[in-house]
Amino acid sequence: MTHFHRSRRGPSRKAVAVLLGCLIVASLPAARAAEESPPVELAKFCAVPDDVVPNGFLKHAREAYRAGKPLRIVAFGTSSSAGTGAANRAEAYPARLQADLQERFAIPVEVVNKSVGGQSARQMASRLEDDVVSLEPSLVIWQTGTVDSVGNLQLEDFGRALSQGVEMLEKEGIDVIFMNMQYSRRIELLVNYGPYVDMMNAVATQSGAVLFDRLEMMRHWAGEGRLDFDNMPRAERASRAAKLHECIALQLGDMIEKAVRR
Amino acid sequence: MTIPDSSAPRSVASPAASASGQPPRAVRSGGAPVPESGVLAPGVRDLRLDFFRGLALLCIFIDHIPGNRIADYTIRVIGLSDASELFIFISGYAAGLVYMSAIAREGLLFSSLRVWRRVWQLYVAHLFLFVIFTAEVAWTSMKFDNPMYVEEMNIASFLNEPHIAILEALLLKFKPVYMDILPLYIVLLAFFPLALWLIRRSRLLALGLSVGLYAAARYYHLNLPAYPEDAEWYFNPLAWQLLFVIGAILGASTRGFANSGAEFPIPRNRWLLGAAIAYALFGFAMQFLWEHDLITRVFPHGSEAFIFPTDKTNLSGWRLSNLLALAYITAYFLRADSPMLRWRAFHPLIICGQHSLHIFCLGVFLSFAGLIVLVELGDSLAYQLLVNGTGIAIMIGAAALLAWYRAKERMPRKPSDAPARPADIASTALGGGSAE
Repeated sequence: MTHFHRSRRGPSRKAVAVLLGCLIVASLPAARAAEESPPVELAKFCAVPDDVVPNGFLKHAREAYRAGKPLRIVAFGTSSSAGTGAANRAEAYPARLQADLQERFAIPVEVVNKSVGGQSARQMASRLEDDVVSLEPSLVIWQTGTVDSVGNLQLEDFGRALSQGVEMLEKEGIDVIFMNMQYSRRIELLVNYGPYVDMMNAVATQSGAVLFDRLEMMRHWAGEGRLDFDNMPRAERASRAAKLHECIALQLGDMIEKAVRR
Repeated sequence: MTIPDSSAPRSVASPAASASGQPPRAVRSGGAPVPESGVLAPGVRDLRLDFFRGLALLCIFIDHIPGNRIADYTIRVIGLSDASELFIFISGYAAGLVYMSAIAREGLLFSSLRVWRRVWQLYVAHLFLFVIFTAEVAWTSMKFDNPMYVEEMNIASFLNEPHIAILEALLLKFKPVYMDILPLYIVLLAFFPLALWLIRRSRLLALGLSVGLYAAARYYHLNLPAYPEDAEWYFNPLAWQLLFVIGAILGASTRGFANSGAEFPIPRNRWLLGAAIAYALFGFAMQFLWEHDLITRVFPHGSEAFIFPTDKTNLSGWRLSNLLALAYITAYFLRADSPMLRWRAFHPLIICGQHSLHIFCLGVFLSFAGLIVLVELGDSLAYQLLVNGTGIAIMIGAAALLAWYRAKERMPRKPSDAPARPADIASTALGGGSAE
């Protein structure tokens, strides 16, 4: 009955992150400014608080990068990854991510979009073998959680599908980034994401997968009035959706670059 | 209208017993009842039940506004369990207390009918909330048809086949978000006469069967069917019945124990208290670390998985024991006759707890309404405080009105009023009487 909002981080972690951030920025001021791969304005527009910035290890992607091999990534999600709501599939974050990463790295980068709308985590897990493993990527971005929480599907089953999936992918030498739901205040009226968000967090923590907290990012952007999808003129729908996918691609690119160059 | 919950938390046989010629047992067993400290005189309400039920109701309202920052400070911060466990436990306790003494007066069949009449009220209340929810979904999907959220808006897909949705709602299989605790309560109460019958035979047998069902539900993943397909009951009644039955056994035992001078059917034991406090502290620490995302720093990689996320659907043992530990500690330190319970500051909570069905439904509605306000006007801290404050004020105000109305209704009438009005006759015929 009570519904958790654990996805919001506590202050202590924030403080540590801010402190760390300051130290890093202070230690390499020139190097950061010089790189400037994404335009500064976009980076500023898409910025999120430090405690929401995704962070973690991507062991296999890093190995591929170090060995100079092409970096292949599979975007494995549902409608929001397939590009529903954006003008077309090329506007969705996977296509943008490929362009973004290609600018950052000298090695060839390929992002394959294997997203299918309306599938639960369990249905996706059964598709992993054919649609992900067979492509031999070093990283998969697994976007899920919406269909399960909307359908009120079994939480335990959801968690099991995720953890078994990650385990299998790990065995195949594939890193995993989990991406959770899209934020909207109106949707919160109708769906309780809490338990499913918690479950994704828990599975990520246990399995060493990276959590890309899209829900919190979008909450932040909406709260700042930058990307509000609840109250907006119809005409702006397409341009805002495009901006959203741009920001998600940028955040993903930052995260992947950090992890790979570690 | 009869609201048994208001009569529920009486420690001993209600005045009805003496009115109907059967003296309260304390008197019968010799001399005037001279309760020891901490023990209530017969017929006096145990305000602790009202207080904590009122607290649970306010917390449920606050917790049910998504993204509510105030919800970080409700009862769930103190441990692994939350307001849901509190509500179900107290409901079980109150039901055990009132219906067990009712059986003694009226027999099993009559008491069962009283339980089922209560079930009927809850069922109607649930359907009423369902209608409100449906209106809200319709409104939201009109306002909000962004294809970006195509999967999310699937939640409104039941509007495409309302004939099926209504049928499933009537069968309690379709439970929209945040509307799952009332169906749980309905199912638990519907089978309560069976539990009562078992408890009367043997408390140990009742507890044993309840534990067995709980274990089987958890082990074999048994749950009731839900709609749409593959969905499940968010509160699995097969698991949650254990908490209700434990509450009911304690409540049913209280009467007998109160007569013998004891306050609570569990011994006041320092070691037990120590264990309860230790577990409650552990629960608090774990909850704190989890809530603040510190858990992975304190515990070795992955070890927190034993506890988190706690399985609320099937009432994980962590949650169950946390609630029982807190209940023991509370019962140990807060006596039923504690003057604290008479503090004016607690009065609003107590009257909310005394009208739990009305206030519960009002709370669910107010959570919906509060979120709509926050969505449309913005959710700055000021608005959040306003919404929470207004909601709580409305709940307390409504409880005060109900209390006033009921008190006025009960006032003795002048002899000239002697021929009872039809309403009174109807209410009595429905099984009203002084217990209401």
